[in-house]
This record gives sequence, C-alpha cells and structure tokens, in this order.
Amino acid sequence: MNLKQLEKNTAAAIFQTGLVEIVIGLIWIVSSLAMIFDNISYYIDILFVVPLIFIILAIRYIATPRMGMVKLARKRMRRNTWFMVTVTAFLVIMVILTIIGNGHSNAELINGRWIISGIIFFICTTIAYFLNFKRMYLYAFLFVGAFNLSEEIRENPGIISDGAYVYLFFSFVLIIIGCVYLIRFLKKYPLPEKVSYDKKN
Amino acid sequence: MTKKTNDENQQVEIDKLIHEPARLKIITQLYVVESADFLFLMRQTGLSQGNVSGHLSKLEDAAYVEIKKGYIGKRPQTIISLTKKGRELFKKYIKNMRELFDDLDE
Repeated sequence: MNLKQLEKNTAAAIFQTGLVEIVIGLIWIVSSLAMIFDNISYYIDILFVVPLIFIILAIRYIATPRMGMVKLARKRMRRNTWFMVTVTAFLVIMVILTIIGNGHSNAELINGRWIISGIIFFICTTIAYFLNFKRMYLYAFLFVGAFNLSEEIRENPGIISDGAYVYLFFSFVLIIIGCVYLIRFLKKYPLPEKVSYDKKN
Repeated sequence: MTKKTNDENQQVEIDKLIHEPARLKIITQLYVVESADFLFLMRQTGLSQGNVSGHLSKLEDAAYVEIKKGYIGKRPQTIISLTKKGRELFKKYIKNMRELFDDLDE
C-alpha cells in the first residue's frame, strides 16, 4: 500500500476523462483561428468562452455523475494553488520578455526559438510532474514540435502559407486523443441508476 | 530506535474494524483526501453500493467516519470524511502494522 501514490492518483482522477485534452485542443483551435483570420481576430477571441463553458458543463454533466466528487487534501490544494501561481508568473515573465525583446537589439536572443521551446517543454513537464498528468510528458514533445514546425513554415512558406495551420492540425490531434479517452471513460463508468448511502442496521 | 522483542510484538493490537480488507480500502481512500462522496468511494475502491453502505455503517457507528447527506439540485449526495478519531486510529494502525512486521526477514 502506497499512500503517497494513492493520493497522487486520486488527485489525477480527472485526467482519465480526456476532458483536459479536449479543452486544450479547443483553446488551441480558437488561438489558431485568431492567427489565421488576423483581421477579424477580435470577433474570434470571443470564442475563447467556448472551451470554458465546455469544461464547466462537461465536469458537471459528464464527469461528476459518473465518478463522483472529491475534495482533495488541504496540502494538495495548497500545492496546486502555488503551482498554478508559479506557472502563471512564468508565463507572464515569458510574455514580458517577448514584448521587451521585440524592440531590442538582442531580439533574436530573447525571442530565440530554442528559448521558447525550452519554456514550453519546461511548463509541460512541470505540469506532468506536479499534477501527476503523465500524458503531458508526451504532449510536451507535441507542443514543442508544433511550435517549431509552425516557425519553420513561417520562415519558409510553401504550400501552407501560414504556420498557424500546423497548430490547427495538432489541436485536432489533441481533441481526437481526448475523445478516445472520453469514450473509454464513458464505457468504464456508465451512468449509475441511483447511488445513495443507506444505513444498514 | 529500540527493537521490540517477539513477546512485545505479539502484544501489538491490530484494529479489526480497520483491518478488514474492504474497510481498509475505504479508510485508506478517505485518509488521502479531505472528503469524498459515496459514488467516488464506490468507483475508487471498486466495491458495490451495498458493500460500501454496509462498511460505512459500521465505521459511522464507531465514529471513524462522518457522513453528511445533502442535495446537489435534485440529486441526493452523501459526503463522507474521516473523523479526527478515525484519522488518528488509522495512523496508529499503520504504526502497529509496521511494528508487527519490523522484525521479519525479507
């Protein structure tokens, strides 16, 4: 019996639903569309509400009725909060560096593809490690690969003129993976008819 | 650390209420979280509804767990958590089990 592992697995129970992949995929699709249709990106940005609504409804109507609810230990909640704050701070620093780098003579160094690839890889693997979301290790390679392929196409335009199409393709791949996990989850945990605690005397 | 003699080890008391395999599964699961609902416990332990109900009743009677019934919308919901007593006794159970097997060769 490994209590630490059991706690980790319990905290990671939501990842078996595949909903996280679908949400990331949806966010990525909206981002890609905003890049492709740059002139109307203001209207497309409104679509960011779709993944948000999707995850709220999916957890309420798909995940919770099938696998129940859990309130994680306070230590885990604190750890997750700190983790999210750290990742957000890291992302903000990345954005600030990119903005500063645009008008700077060292722009190439600051905006270097390898630095951004490293940051993407670092964030993904950190998420995988701290949240026990093991598939995220694989997605780290997927995200870095998509970013580099997109940059390559941007620099050497060929048949595909916009690198954002690469993101669009990979976001569909992510959604398909999510759907496969979701189908497996639905099969494993069918909707229970009526589950309630009846005290036995 | 002082090693206990075999005689001392024989006196280690194992809490039978916790030691039963199905109840051990339930308590272990509750130990690593703050609280969980009935369905979550069923799913994580792989036990049937009747089984979980039966064991929870015994644990509730012994004040090892606290059970709160409520509703989410129209859906009934049962939230279960370990009491302070239950948590302490489970810690003691782990300690006793460790001590019991401490002297065994691999």
